[in-house]
Amino acid sequence: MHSVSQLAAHGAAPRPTSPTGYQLSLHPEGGLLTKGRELDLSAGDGIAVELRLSTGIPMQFTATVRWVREREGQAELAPGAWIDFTDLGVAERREFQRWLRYFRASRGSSTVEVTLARKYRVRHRGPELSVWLGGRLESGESEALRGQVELALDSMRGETLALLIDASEFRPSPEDSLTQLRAWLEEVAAQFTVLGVLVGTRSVGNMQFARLAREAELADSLVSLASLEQARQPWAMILDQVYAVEQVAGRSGSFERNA
Amino acid sequence: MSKTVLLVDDSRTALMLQKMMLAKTGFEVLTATDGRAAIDLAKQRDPDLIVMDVMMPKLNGIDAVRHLRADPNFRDTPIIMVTTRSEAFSVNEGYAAGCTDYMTKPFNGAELVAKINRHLGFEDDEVEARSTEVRR
Repeated sequence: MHSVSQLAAHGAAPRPTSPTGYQLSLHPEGGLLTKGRELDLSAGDGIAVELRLSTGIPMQFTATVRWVREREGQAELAPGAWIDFTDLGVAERREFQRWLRYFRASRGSSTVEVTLARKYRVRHRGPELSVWLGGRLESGESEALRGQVELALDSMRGETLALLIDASEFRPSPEDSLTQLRAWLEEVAAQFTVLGVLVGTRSVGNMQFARLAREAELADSLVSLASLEQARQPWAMILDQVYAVEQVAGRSGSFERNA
Repeated sequence: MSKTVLLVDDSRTALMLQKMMLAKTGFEVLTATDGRAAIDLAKQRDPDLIVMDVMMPKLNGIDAVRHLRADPNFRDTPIIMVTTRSEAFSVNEGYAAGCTDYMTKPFNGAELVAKINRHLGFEDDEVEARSTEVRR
């Protein structure tokens, strides 16, 4: 039987850390994000960063984590994550690069303090796929999330999928964003026989997500539960069933290895 | 004597998930995958409560409820409709056919167990105990 903490780890719910105190070394396409020893990010995570400059005017970017540098084995380097900005159009990117050249020249450094908001996290292993959603997702963020799910689906074999969606922190999002969410749910439904859990309280955001699940023909495949605590037992039973059907080894302890 | 619950759904994954949610409740669980099979099984086994999907082959859930309600043996049997459609007309159609309660898919696991317990006449503290057991 899996413990709740294991489920939370696999379910990709990030550990709550303060959104402040991050340093971002800016580059034209993104940058290196650091925060002492606390960094809790994984490759593929979707985030939003906000820079507040001396002018007081905030600059906001959405980004995807390309890679993460762990502390182990690299004691001389602080843990860090490279992030790629995902929402800059060609003209905005050109303007940002111009601004960055000016900023670097005037400051002698391109490192700035940023605040960070977590937006999504996708994890997969064997026949298990978990998606955590946080806050309001803008269209570009949902599109990037869809790309992460599609990458995961491309690497998954078999016909049956254990799907864990943690939407407990998902907030109502605009319709073009929902279109992107619906699209990957439809891809999941088209490719796999799904047994899954949808975690979330009866918030408006969760009701919105439940509607998407219905529209994507996944309503029969999901049981909705208010919390990870409630989801623990059904999720363990779903894993039993899916691993038995897929006849793949390695279920036991899978959460730890995925954490 | 343990209570018997009949789950009716053409989706095997939906049936599987519902059975999982009832696994620790001690109910005897029967399943059927269409309205006609549900009526036949209900007549054979006289379940204490029925959980009925709406959209099904051969005989849909609404018509199955009408058939069951026309039979004096099932006039008072609690029937919970589980539907993917939450529009008012769909819910009203279910109530007009004689269903006792309804839920929308994706169904809420804890709510399903709580509704079943309540319609079977268990007291609130027993409902809580059973729901807690499911969560444990």
